[in-house]
Amino acid sequence: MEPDWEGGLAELRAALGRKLLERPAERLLYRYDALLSGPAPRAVLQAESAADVQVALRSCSRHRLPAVARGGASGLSGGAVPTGPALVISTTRMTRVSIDPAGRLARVEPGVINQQLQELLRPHGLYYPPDPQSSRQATLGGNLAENAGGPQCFKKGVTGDYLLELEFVTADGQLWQMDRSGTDLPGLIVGSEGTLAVITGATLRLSQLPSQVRTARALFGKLEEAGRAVAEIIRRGLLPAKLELMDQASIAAVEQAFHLGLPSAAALLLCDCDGEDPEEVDREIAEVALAFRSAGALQVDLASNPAEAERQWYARRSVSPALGRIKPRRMNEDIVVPRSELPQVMQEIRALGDASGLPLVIFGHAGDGNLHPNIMYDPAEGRWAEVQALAHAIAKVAIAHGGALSGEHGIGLAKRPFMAEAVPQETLRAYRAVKRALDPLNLLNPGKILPEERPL
Amino acid sequence: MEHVIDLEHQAARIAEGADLCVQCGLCLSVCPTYALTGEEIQSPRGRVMLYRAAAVGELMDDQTVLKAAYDCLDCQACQTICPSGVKPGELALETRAALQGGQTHSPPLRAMLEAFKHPWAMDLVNAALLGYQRSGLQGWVRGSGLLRGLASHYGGRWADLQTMESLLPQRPIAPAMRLRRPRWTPHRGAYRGTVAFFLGCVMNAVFSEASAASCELLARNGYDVVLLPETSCCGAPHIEEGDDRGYRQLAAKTARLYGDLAVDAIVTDCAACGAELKKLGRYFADDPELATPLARVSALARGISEFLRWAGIRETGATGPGRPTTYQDACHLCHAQGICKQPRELLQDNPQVAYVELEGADACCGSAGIYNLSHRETSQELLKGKVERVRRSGAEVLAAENPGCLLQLEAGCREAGLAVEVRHTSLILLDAYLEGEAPGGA
Ligand SMILES: Cc1cc2nc3c(=O)[nH]c(=O)nc-3n(C[C@H](O)[C@H](O)[C@H](O)COP(=O)(O)OP(=O)(O)OC[C@H]3O[C@@H](n4cnc5c(N)ncnc54)[C@H](O)[C@@H]3O)c2cc1C
Ligand code: SF4
Ligand code: SF4
Repeated sequence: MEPDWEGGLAELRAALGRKLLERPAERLLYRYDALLSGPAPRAVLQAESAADVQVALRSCSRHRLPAVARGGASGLSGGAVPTGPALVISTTRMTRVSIDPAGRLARVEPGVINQQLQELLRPHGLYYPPDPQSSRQATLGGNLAENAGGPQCFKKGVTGDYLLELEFVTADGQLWQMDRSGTDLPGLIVGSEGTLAVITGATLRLSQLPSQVRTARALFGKLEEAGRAVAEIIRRGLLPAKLELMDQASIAAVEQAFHLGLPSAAALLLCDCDGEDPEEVDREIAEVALAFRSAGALQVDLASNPAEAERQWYARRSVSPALGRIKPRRMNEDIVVPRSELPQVMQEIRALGDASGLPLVIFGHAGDGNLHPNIMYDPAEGRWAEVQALAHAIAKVAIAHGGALSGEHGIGLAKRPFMAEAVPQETLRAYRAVKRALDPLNLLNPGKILPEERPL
Repeated sequence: MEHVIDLEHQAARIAEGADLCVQCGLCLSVCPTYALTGEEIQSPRGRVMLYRAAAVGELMDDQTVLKAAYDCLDCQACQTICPSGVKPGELALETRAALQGGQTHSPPLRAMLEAFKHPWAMDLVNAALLGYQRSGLQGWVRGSGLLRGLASHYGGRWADLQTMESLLPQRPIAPAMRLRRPRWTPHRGAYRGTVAFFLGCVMNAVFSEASAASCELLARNGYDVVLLPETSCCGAPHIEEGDDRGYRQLAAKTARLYGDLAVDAIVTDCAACGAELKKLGRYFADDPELATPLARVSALARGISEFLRWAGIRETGATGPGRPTTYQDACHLCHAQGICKQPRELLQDNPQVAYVELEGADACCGSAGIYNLSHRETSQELLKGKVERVRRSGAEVLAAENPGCLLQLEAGCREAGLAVEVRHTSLILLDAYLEGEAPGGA
């Protein structure tokens, strides 16, 4: 059956009134995320409640209209970008939060911004560990849909590890509320990028802010030594709170943009250990320093006070902003590889970058084996084909070493072409079966994640 | 709808400025209008994409684009945070100019902009305000609640009038200083240099005691102060309203008066004037006549706190105890000029001040030129939040360095029944000198 836009939009209009945006000027602004741009949607719903989402999806089902959920549109895989005529369901007005400090829980709507939750929690001495670098602009709904991670996730786990209960609406307009006991359906929705359901609420687990934090920084003469240091830390059974990598190109980019006085080195690792017992945390950071040295670090610095630690972390946080000044655009890869493979993977990617002649910058959450090789380019230079070829080659390195294409940014539209190579056919079949069971009409975020299936 | 971007070079400039945007969305986190609405069209990223679509002819709905450009406060918080150097605030102004053919179409606005071109008109405004206060009329209007009644009953124009009236300070306004102050104020103590004081229109009309204090401060710090009474408006109101031509007229006058003036700096105590003076050189960089003199003006322009902090302020001789004092960043100081530390440091070093930081101090108070009149509700909502945070700070004194902010904050505190003194930083600093000099002072 073909989509019936006329009838569907009339129904949506009648039911949702001013919450439905239809003017071209407004629709035009819901066609992009932080990576890609697609066709403008036919209409946008500024949802204010789960009931709005239900009403919309019921009409969509009746009239066969595709629907795309959208949070802060900070995604880096084109996830919230329509691939054809669609209704975009924007969650940015669903921002209610309630906090239960004693139970260490937060009940949130999907439009709440990650950072806003953190600010509400701080006075209670609590925090929500998943900390994507986009925490100031990404919604918790988007974090759940991408299973977002960040530096903290090495020790503390990713978004899905903090989900206790999920409220979501399936394509037929049915509202579900489930915890994670029994068959873990919420676990299935997490990371599904809006292709299985629209998330309308969640209960999240919170942690206590650690009272002790120590920071160490190591410089390396070779990129692969930094990889070896990570493997060494894992081998020694250490569990730092954060373990982050910057390569020579990222150090240079930050230095050029912000003049922080960073030393030049082939690679830099930045590590935090945290906990409650000062002696234990001191011991752990000292062992990390040993691991750094045994991997060949040229220099290891322990921050002597919080201000110094903050300065060291400031450099890491400045990587993304600094890259914008090299070339206007970047292709942001998001691979994950087994940590034992890091030295080899880093070396191979660096070699690919050098051979391509394109500026390639590598940084990431080394502790998780999650690397962000970024290819910098200027659309005006017309090297798009080369950029894509390099991205593809990097993805192949990850796969060859037993890794995956998406650590945290999702597959979305951008990495969909690689799926057929990266994922075995049987697994793809299983994904499709799940998709058909929850969204038989293929209305939720069509054209994402799963590669095109030849019609039977 | 007809498409009227007729200033071709401007369309190209807008598209170029917008192309820097990588849509990362970081700016959404600081935009006041986005915080209130959650709508992409009310966000910096959305606005930039919209201006771009209009500039490249992808969207033929100039009215909506123009409205979006006017819904922007031009607070430039987004410019401070954007990692890619996009300037959504400035692009809003360019779009306003481009879509209106370089001139606003509203007759009352045109009249206002015309008045701003004549320095004596500001003296007249000041005289009218003095009359209004001294005749007891203001007391009667406020006491009787007549205007408030009409506004709540009829809304519309009456509500506008009520908003305007409520923005006037309660304290007695001082007479305009433009013609009363000497052209030249000699330095005191050891000579350190000569500066021009750029007198702002609204400062002269409503806050001349603060500008007089600024001149005194400069003199007490060893500077000869030159004040040119023929100075016109800096052009901020004109460019805010898309009046490119008026802006150029005024820039030409500024170039003539200040372009080769033999001074070490051009100091202003108005954030908007400072931002404009610093921008002129860049804005007219391609203008064969104005480029050179305006580049010099821009290079010499300084905010009063910026200048005093750079020069190193002399001991005041005052002693404590300090009053709890907080500081509101003017958007055109902190976001447009990056002046955030200097005013705070001056206040913190002042023995009469016990400094407390204001939560969200760098977020717009909603004054934003004439935004508080053109977008009353949004402005009031921003102001309400601001006043609440001032209350929570526990401060007795609230410092700011821009006439629009001072008016807005004073009205907000008065309406909320919050007994906070709203003062220009210069007045606070001068008080410290006066106390230090007083017989029996330290
Ligand atoms: C500078 C920068 C740094 C980043 N750093 C990180 C990082 O460190 N770690 C990381 O993991 N990511 C990072 N990201 C990527 C991005 O911010 C995350 O993927 C984030 O979770 C997306 O949230 P959003 O609200 O912007 O979602 P959107 O971009 O709006 O949507 C992302 C996907 O989620 C779906 N979706 C959104 N809301 C819902 C909902 N309520 N129900 C169902 N589906 C929904 C959309 O359909 C889409 O497929 C970064 C991005 C940028 C621009
Ligand atoms: S204007 Fe700057 S901060 Fe905002 S989306 Fe564009 S690049 Fe990001
Ligand atoms: S200038 Fe202010 S109101 Fe305008 S887009 Fe930027 S942050 Fe928003």
